[in-house]
Parts: sequence; structure tokens; C-alpha cells
Amino acid sequence: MDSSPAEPHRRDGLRLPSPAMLRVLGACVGIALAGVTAATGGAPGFLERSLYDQAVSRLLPAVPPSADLVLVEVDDRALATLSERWPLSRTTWARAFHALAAQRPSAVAVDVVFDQPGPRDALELGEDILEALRRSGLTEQPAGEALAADLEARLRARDGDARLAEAISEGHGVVLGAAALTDDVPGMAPLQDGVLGTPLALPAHALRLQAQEVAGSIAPLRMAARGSGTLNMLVDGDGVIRRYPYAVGVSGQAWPSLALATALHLTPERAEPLRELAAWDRGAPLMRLPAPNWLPRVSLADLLHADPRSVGLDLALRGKTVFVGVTATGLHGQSTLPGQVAVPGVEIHAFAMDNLRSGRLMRSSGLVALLGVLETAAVLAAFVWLCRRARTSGAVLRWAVTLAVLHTALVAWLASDPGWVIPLVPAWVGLMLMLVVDAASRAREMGRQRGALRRLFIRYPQASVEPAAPQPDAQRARADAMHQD
Amino acid sequence: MRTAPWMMAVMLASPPALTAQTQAPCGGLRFENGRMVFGRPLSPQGAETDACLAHVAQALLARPAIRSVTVAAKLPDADRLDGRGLAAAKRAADVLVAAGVPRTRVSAMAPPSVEGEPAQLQLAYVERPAQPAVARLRAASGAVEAGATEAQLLARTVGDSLYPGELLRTGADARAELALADGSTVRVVENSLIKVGAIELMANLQRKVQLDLLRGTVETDAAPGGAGSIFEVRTRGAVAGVRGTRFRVSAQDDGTSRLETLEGKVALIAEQAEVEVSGGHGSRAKPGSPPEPPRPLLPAPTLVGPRGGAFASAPKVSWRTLAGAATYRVEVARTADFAASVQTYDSASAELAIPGPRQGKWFWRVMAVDGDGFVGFPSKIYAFDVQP
Repeated sequence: MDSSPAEPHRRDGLRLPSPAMLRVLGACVGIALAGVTAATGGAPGFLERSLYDQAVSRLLPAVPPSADLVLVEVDDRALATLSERWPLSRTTWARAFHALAAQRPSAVAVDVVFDQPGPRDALELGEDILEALRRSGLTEQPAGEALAADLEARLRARDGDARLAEAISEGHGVVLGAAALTDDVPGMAPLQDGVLGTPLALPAHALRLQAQEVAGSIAPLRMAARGSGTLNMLVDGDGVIRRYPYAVGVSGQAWPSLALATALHLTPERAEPLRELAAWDRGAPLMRLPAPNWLPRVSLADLLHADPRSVGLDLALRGKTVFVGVTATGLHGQSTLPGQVAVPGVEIHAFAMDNLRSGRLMRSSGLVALLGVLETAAVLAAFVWLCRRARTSGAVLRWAVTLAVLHTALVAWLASDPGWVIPLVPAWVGLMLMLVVDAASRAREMGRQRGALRRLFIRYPQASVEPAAPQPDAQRARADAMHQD
Repeated sequence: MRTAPWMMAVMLASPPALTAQTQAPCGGLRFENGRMVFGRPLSPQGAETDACLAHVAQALLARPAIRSVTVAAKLPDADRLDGRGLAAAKRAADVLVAAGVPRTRVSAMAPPSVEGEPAQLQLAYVERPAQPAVARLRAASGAVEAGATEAQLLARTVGDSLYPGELLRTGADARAELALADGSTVRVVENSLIKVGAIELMANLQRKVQLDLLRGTVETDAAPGGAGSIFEVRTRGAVAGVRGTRFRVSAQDDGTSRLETLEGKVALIAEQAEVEVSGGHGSRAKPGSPPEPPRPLLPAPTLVGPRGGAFASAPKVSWRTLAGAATYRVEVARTADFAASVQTYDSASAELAIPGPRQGKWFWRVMAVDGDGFVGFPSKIYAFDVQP
């Protein structure tokens, strides 16, 4: 009997929030997910990477082939034909660049960093012999002089670094690879002052890819080339490359990637708009993907062994922008793109350059990320409002599906047309949570009404059997009986 | 060899003097990142260019670690494409060869130039890769030479690399500042001779650095190292083992080694005896004797003036007298880091008329020296402008 007053109090403590409040909480979860995605660099967020990968690789139109790009590849056939192992000798590279220069391409972008001098032990031995020959006086005789001249010519020809520098300087413009020294880059000797030429006029600290130092090719090669560009990629936690870093921040200075450096060399008159595009999404926008075999290829073996006057080579290379890199099986430089595996890194630089110059970039941070949060909030707010007006669960479900479809269509259109990638999943999650809350609250309400009806129908037959005496009389009669007891 | 955790050692020598910047034929020549940097652009040809190239050839011959040099003539495309660029580069290469650089080590090329840049020659070099540099000359003034032996010493300039076992000598009125591969800094004062030993950098910031001070004085800012690191400065009679501290070490002509610890702790070891010299103290080891007990260093003098301002001629600088000071050492430099081009004067009183005609901005500071030659802490740094 004492417990009876306490029971209502305990029920008050366990009372659940109202369905409206729960729906708002569900919406807040969706908005919070969108906010987290925006704060962590923009879409695709952690939950939607697989969806994004499927969408960009299967649904978005692929990058169309460009007639002026070509890949000169160090493939399996080239290694077999040259009887060399990777890395190729500097003299072979010198032959390759010499052959390329003869075809007069408009630019050559090299996905290789020549960061160490080539071996010189044999050269130094030859120099010692030559010096000894001269000191001995043998060179005063015609035969000795001829021998010394021949030895000198041979030593000169075998100085790979010098010959490579000369070959690079013959071209119209060669852009060499460099490497921003991040944790995932194998040990390379940094340039002491990090100098790769003139840094970009971009806010270095705001860039997505940061490094402490940068490594590049040896000085004679840098001097012979038109410029250098970094080869770094931004690899997500799942091992997939979705963004291309057009610029890298190194100790307060911004340095261009291979794609940006090549684009700047090809179209110096468009330097300012190119830099602005490259700065999108903190210097690393999401990538449009090319179709497989998007880039025409020429094997290095063909370049070296074909007649320089070959019409085929001329058609393939003259006036083109040539990307040079390794594609041979088992060598480094194979990267995973959304929906594609084992894509040579040099191809990524090529289509990143093509995307940049054609403006086909996708952005997801900054104002786009804010737009994503607002759009998610708008979708969820609309559903909250519609839920209150819907009279049946079926109507609520129809509104949820309608909003989800509209949201998905908007996200897809923004990605495919203006190239804005906003979060997809947070709105779905919010809708789903609200749908569950609504279904639960309606089920609870139906249960309550069913219980009330049941109680009503149980009470009705009892009322028909007992006489409908007025209650005060009955109480009085019960009290009289107690007094008699 | 010795390492005491969180200790430092320093030895100090006599100071002096002053230096004049030498005017090189190329307007200055530095070796940086594989490029030769000239004080002024090097025109493709001309008497000045030939003189500069002859100077470059001598500098190359003095650096056996440089294995090849590339000469690039960067001319406008119109000149370059008709072959004049390559001809200018080959002509410059011939000058180098004529000056003694082996022909097999010189190459020439004419790469595309940057639009708008004047026609010029550029030079780059390749160093021997198997032998990593252990130090780089960060600042130098006066006669600074380096080489494998004392007989092979040749002039060096800012940016040059030093390799294990090389000697570095500063002449009268010369100073040099070395950046070691482990991040430490060594300042070598005039009339000093040091030998750069091996520098080993290991995992977990552990490192091993050895310097031999054969003559004169070095002041060292040792970078902090990981557990087990060794940083030693050896003289003929003593060894100073250091970790992450600032100290001076001097090797006097009579064989006395003197240590002054400015920060941290240093172990001074001689004749199988050892003293720990903490910050603000000094010690010395005479030939054949164990190190003396540490003694306090003199504090930094308080400067009176000038503390700035412009003067028609070099002003008289003054400071407050310090008890225990036998003399005062006044340093005047062009830069506030006192890394190079430092002029040093001794004064028995608390003032000094800065000698010599001079112009522009100068920085000055004072250190007190006690009766045994121990140099105290440096004062604050003030500046004055001379505008005749």
C-alpha cells in the first residue's frame, strides 16, 4: 500500500523523450556525421569511401583521351631488350633523352628522381690510368697520344651523369621528378636548402600534403632541366589514392607536383589560373579517373632501337607532351585508384595534368564541405517537418525514400557537373534513424491504442452483468457491512 | 672517450681579431646544393668570365671530392638554337681544362633559359657519393683553409663541405663556423687548427662526434643527442665529453687545455683524472697534470653604451667594471650572431675606443677575462651605426 504512491514517480524517471525529440536527435546524428566529414578534409568520409569509389569508377564519365599526351614506358620488353635491371644506367637514360629530343616533343615529364650520382669507380680508375699514361711520357709518341685520346673519349662517353645532363638540355623542356620527404617516402638525401627553383605563390601551410624536406635530382640535371615537380601521392588509410597533391608545403614554401610543373611549362600564359585551380581543396582535389589504357604508350625499347627518322615515332612523339616512367611488372610505381588496381604512377601524373589544364577537378572541402553540411541539414529538417504531417507509416516511408532519392540525385549531379563532392551517407544515416524512431513511436502508439481498446472491450461485458448501482450507494453499503463486523 | 649524461665540456683559447672580407674574382663563390653560386651573374664570355673560371678551376682542384663539373650556357632561345649557346659553354669548359681540371670531368651544355633572364653561365658539380660530408662551412671570414693534411690546405668558402679526417685551419683575423651533420655548431676562432673526425648518426638520435682541437679555440653548441650519444673535443692533453650543451675549448701552445662551460655539464679528462665542470665554471689541465678543480667563470659585464644610435665615427664603448676581471675582451661584428667577420680587441679598462675607419651597422659585446685567462660569459649585444 505504501508503494502505490511511489510507482507513478518511478515511471516518470524512465519516461522516454517524445518522438519529436528523438527524431531531432536522429537528424542531429546525421548532421554531426556531415560535420565530422567536413572537419576531416571533406567527402568522401570514412563510411562512404567504397560508395565513392564505385561511383567515380563506374558512374562518372571517364576522362576522355587527350591526343597530345603519350607515355614512354620502361616496360618488361624494354628491360629485356636492354638487358638491364632497374634502375637503368645513366648512359641508357642519356640515350633515351637524346632520342626523345630528336623527336621534338613539346615537353617531357619524368617520373624518376635521379637523386644520387651514378657510379664512377670505373671512370676514376680510367682517369688514374690516363694520368699515369701521361706522366710516363708515352703520350709523347704518336701511338701513346692516340691511346690517350681514345681512352679520354671513352671515359667521356661513359660519364653517365654528364651525358644525361647534356641530353636533357637538348630538349625543349624536361621536367624532372622530385620527392617531398614525408614518412612514407624511402630515405633520400634532402637538398640542403630545399631548392627546386622558384617556389609557388601559394599559402604553403594550408596545403594538404606537408613535408619537412624535399629531395631532387642532382644539380647538373636540375640545371639542364626546365624544372622539377614532386611525385608524391596522397594515399588514404585504405591504400587507395583518391586525391592528387598538385602542390606540397615544405618548410613554409610551396612546390609544384610533376603535373603542375608540366602544365605551367606548357602554358605559361595560364600560370595564374592554373595555380588557382591547383590550390583547390588545399592543393589536393579529388581526381576524375581515366578509362583503362587511356594513355597511348611507346616502349622505351622502341624509342631506343627505332630509326630516329621513323615516321611512326614522329607521329607518336612530335609536338606531344611525353610522360616517362616505369610500368614493368614488379617495379615500384604501381598505385591503387578507386576501382582500378596497379596503375603506374606515371599515368596518374599524366591524367592529373590533363585534369588540371582542362579544369576537370573535383573539390570537397571549404565552401563545398559547408554546402554538404547545410544540404544534409536541409534534407533532415525537411524530413522532420514531413514526419509530423504524415498520418501513416507508409506516408513517412514514402517521404524518406523520396528525400533519399533526391539527396542522392543532388549529390551525384554536384559530383558529375560542377565537380563538388558532398557527403552522401550522413543524410542517409539521419533519415534511417528518424525512420526507425518514427516507426517505433507509431508502433508504440498503436500498441497503446490497442491496449485501450482491449481494456474497453473487456470492461463492457462486466458492466452488462452487474447491476449498474450508483457508486456512492455501494460504498455506503460496504461501510455498513464493516461496522456490523 | 667519455660520455657523461647531460654534461658538456668546453675549452677555450685566446681570442682575437679581426677580418676583412676578401673580394673573390667572381664576386664571391659558394658551393651550394651541387651548384656554384657566384656573387654576380657570370656573362657567357669576357675577361672577367675567364678570370672567374680560372678561380673556379683552382677551387675545383682544391676539392678532390668533386668528381665532375657541368658548364651550362643559358642564352635566349634565338641564340641557343643556332649553336651559340653550346659554343659559349664549350669555350668556358676549355678555360677550366686549360686551368688544370681534367677534361674527362668537364662537360658543357646549353639548356633552355628562363624567359626574361639575362644570358649567363651556370656551373654545377657532382660530389663523390660514397663519402658523405660531415660538416659544412656555414660562415667564414679571413683565411679559412681545409685539406687532408697541413701540406694540402687550400682556401675554402661558405657552403663547402668537409669530409671525415679533413683539417680546417683559420689564419690570423679569420673565423669559421661549421654546421656538423648532427646539427651541432662549432665556431673556430683565429689561428686555430681542428681535425674533423668521423660523425656517426644512429637510430634514436644517438650520435657519435669526435673533433680534434690541434691548436687554438673552438666554441661549440652541441645539439642534444639520444641516450648513449658521444660528443668529444680532444686536445693534446685532455678530452671534453659533451652532451647537448655550450662550451669553449682551448688548446694553448704550452700544452694547457682550458675548458669553459657556459651551459650544462662537461667532463674534463686528463692524466686519468676527471672533473665535472658545470655551467658557469671553468677548469684547465696543464701538461702532465690532472684537471684543476672547477672555478667560477666571470659573469657577463653590464654594458653602459652606446646602445644604439648613429655616429659620425666609431664611438667609444664602455661598460661597468667587474670584480675579478683582469682584462676585457670586446668583440665587434657585422652580424648579431658573431659567426664571422668578428673583430676582437682587449682592453684593461672598462672602455674602449673602437679603432679603425668603419661604416654601417656594427654589433658589439664584452666578455671579462680573469687573471688565468678564463673567459667569462658574454654580455648583451648592442649595436651602433657609423654614418660618416
